[in-house]
Amino acid sequence: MSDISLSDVNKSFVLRDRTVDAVSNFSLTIEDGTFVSVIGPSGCGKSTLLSIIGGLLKPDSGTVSINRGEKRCGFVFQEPRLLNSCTVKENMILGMKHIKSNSARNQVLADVLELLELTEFINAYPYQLSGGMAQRAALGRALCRQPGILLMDEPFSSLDAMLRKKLQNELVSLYLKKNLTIVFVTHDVSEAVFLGRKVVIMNDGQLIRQQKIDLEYPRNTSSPEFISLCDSIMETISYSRYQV
Amino acid sequence: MRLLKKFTVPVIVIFLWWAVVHVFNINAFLFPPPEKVLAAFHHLIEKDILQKHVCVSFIRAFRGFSITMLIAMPLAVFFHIFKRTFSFFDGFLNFLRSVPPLAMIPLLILWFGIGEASKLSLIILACFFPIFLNTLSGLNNVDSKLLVMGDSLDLTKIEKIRYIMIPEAAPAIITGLRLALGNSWRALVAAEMIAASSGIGYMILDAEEMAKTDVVYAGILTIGILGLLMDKMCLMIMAKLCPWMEDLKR
Repeated sequence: MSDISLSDVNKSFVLRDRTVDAVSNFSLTIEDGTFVSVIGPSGCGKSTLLSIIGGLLKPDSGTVSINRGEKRCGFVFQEPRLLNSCTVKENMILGMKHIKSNSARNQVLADVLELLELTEFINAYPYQLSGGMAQRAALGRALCRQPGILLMDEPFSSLDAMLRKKLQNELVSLYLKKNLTIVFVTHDVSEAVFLGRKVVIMNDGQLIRQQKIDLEYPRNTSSPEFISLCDSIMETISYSRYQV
Repeated sequence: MRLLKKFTVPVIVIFLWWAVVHVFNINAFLFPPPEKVLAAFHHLIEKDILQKHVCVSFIRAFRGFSITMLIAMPLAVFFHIFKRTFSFFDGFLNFLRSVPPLAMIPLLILWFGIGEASKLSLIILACFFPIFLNTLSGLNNVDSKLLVMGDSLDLTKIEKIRYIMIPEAAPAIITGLRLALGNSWRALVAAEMIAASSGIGYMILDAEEMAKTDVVYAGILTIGILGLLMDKMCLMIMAKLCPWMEDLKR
């Protein structure tokens, strides 16, 4: 069953005196419970696509249908975007408007904090957190919405390599545990292949190629299959850029 | 250690003051020594004179400052919401901003008489622009990415104002309030020197006419100390209201 379906979606922006097609004639189907990595060079329309899926931007034309049912979208941005005036707890509670009972809310909060190892920072303000902790708190805020669909826009791009690897592993175990539908935007080929069950390659606002990744989790980044998939995707990206 | 840092410079200044007056044997009428000013303070406090004048000035400054907040902040919110309207008023407001409030004293006395109204309007004129412009700039510069984040959490307009707009604009608003607080004292004392029968400004002017230089010095020091205390008080209140602002705790 498909969770997200985009058909002939177009979105353009007017920048000074010229029009930029951020997404053009884009069609994609994402199955329920699939981890999709969207990859492409900077400025190719990945973030715009994510905003359209999340309902933050309206497409100029085309249809976007999301089989939400009771599902909510959880958004994780490139920067944590935590509210400076709120503690970690208050930031997370902001995403829990759908839970009316206080006890249920506290239970969800406690579970998410424990999952992300943030329990002892529950009353900390964002300025008291390190970069990695702040990004985990942002992920926690999205998870507190109990989303069926998690939309992530290069969430680990500003973190150091060690922390990035740690959060990638945490995300994979979270995905396997909760069976979420995840759309993960990145410009790192290795990250896209490490995380996704499907890699969607974009360039110039268009869908270039979809690649299924059949490797078992947790993935070994030095295995020949992993390296070969990365090379193949890299080649597609380079070729499509050369064509443009 | 913190106390030592705070009091080192004032203690050195008072010592230098004392040393200069005594070493160069300066006329006490022109430059009274610290002990004479201290005696004047003692006399003013003992006779309840200083308390009375400080109380009058404080109430005036507080009233003017509060009224300005009630006018300037909603106006800034209005112009933030209706940005296009602001472009009509921008030039006129800049014109008004360039006119020093003290230059308005003759007109204010003409319009409102020499009573409280003219003094209050002078304080309002002096406080208005720091509060209005800083609030407006604080609101206009709220990070739009945070508002997008608010959309992603399905926050209502009221929730966005409560959780995003006001806290994000708070640093600029606080700066405006502090500037306005300083301005309110400056304008008030000037107003009291021209037309008043009480207040610190009046006390200084009266002492000058009576050739009591030590009282003039005591009055000036009182203004400085009160300004400092009010600023500290403002910072303490803000630190309580905005616990996430590290700068306020220093």
